[in-house]
Amino acid sequence: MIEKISFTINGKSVTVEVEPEMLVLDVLREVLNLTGTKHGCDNSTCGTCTILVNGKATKSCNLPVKKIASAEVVTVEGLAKGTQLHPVQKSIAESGAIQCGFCTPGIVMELVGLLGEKPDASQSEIENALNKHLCRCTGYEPIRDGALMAQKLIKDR
Amino acid sequence: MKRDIDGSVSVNMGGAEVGQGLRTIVRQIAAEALKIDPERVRVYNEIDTQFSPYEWQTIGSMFTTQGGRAIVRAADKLIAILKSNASQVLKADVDYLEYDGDYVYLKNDPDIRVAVKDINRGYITEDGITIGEMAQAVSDARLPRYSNPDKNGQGSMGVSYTFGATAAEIRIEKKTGKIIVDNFASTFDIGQVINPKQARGSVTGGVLMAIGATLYEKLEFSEEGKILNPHYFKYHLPLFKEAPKQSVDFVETPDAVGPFGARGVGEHSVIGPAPAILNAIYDAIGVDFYEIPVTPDMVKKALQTRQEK
Repeated sequence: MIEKISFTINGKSVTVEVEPEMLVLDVLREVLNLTGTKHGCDNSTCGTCTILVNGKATKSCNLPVKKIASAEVVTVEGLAKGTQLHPVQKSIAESGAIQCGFCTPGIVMELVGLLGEKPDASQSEIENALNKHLCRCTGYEPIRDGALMAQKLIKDR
Repeated sequence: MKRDIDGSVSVNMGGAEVGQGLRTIVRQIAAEALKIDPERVRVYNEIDTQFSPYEWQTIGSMFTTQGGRAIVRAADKLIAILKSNASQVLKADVDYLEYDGDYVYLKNDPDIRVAVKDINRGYITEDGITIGEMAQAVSDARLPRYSNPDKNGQGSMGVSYTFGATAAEIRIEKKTGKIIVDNFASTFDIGQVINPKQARGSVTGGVLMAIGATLYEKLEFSEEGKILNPHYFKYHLPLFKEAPKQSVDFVETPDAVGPFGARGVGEHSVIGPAPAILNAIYDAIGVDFYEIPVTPDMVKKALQTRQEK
């Protein structure tokens, strides 16, 4: 049964008319045309679907859209202010952490969530967060370097 | 390759960018050949057989060598056009002229010069007549004598060879048979390194792909040939915590063929990890494995057999 479900997406209020069980990942990509969030697997293991729901990094591939009614959702498209990149975007771009870029939005959202909540997150908290994301291209090292660079930028702000 | 009216450069090139940084090094090589800042070089983002120059395939770890040579040859042609235009303006033969990126000048009197901006589209004389050619050039490159193998399987199959060495430092958890790769070192002789960050990224990624094949990744098939484990939680790709600390170094013996002495690297980083790790296992427990992945169960069994012996 189609329902009207409202939430804010990247600061804007939206109302979608969909099945309440439709997955948030599909609502974002198919209904709202926000394809920055990726569909990388079919069993919630790869992390590329990660977004922020009420400030917390959350997988969107196993989340029915009815669960985000009235929530504040942020996707990777909502981070930059015009051409001004978010510190996490800037650091990940500069540290060599982006090759094919498929894992990047999920990792960026994970770090925005973690460092937004805990700018003083310990190295092991950062590493636990990164361990939830698969990457094939980089060997992970430049991603960790980018995460630490981002933490420094955020704390120095 | 064309020189726009503000002196910037646009490059239209085939070559598939998949994240390895192909367009970045096109920019860098073009800038170096044309003696201008890379910021002033623009590389088209779209490729389409309808309008892109021919590209055989982006393959063989050889775009830097082959594509790079094409860029340098196009740049040389473009510079020759600028000098030819300048020779009419400066009223001097082309062999007395020098190009420095923004000017063409007389070798023996550099104050006698004309700006590239003024001769990009030919040169417009005082009475409005335009002489000369537009500064745009097309070129290409092939690898010299790159051939099919002969009836004995021999031939020039690579033209330029990138050599390397790799080493692994591992620990084995006796109770579980788990292998942990603590440190991994790779060195490759790739001639002139054009983009150190990208070259390093190519190696660190390839090493981890090979570690996955060596220790974790195994496709399981049913009798009918169906894949039984097509899920990331059953087909184990290496995770962040399973990545070793990597040291990557490049030796720069100049290449005879590649642009500015550069040689290709791409597939190379995937070759060494399996044998290095298997040799390390032998060094640790005296057991030789001849197939991969070497799973914890296989190591446990080998340790038990060794114990019994």
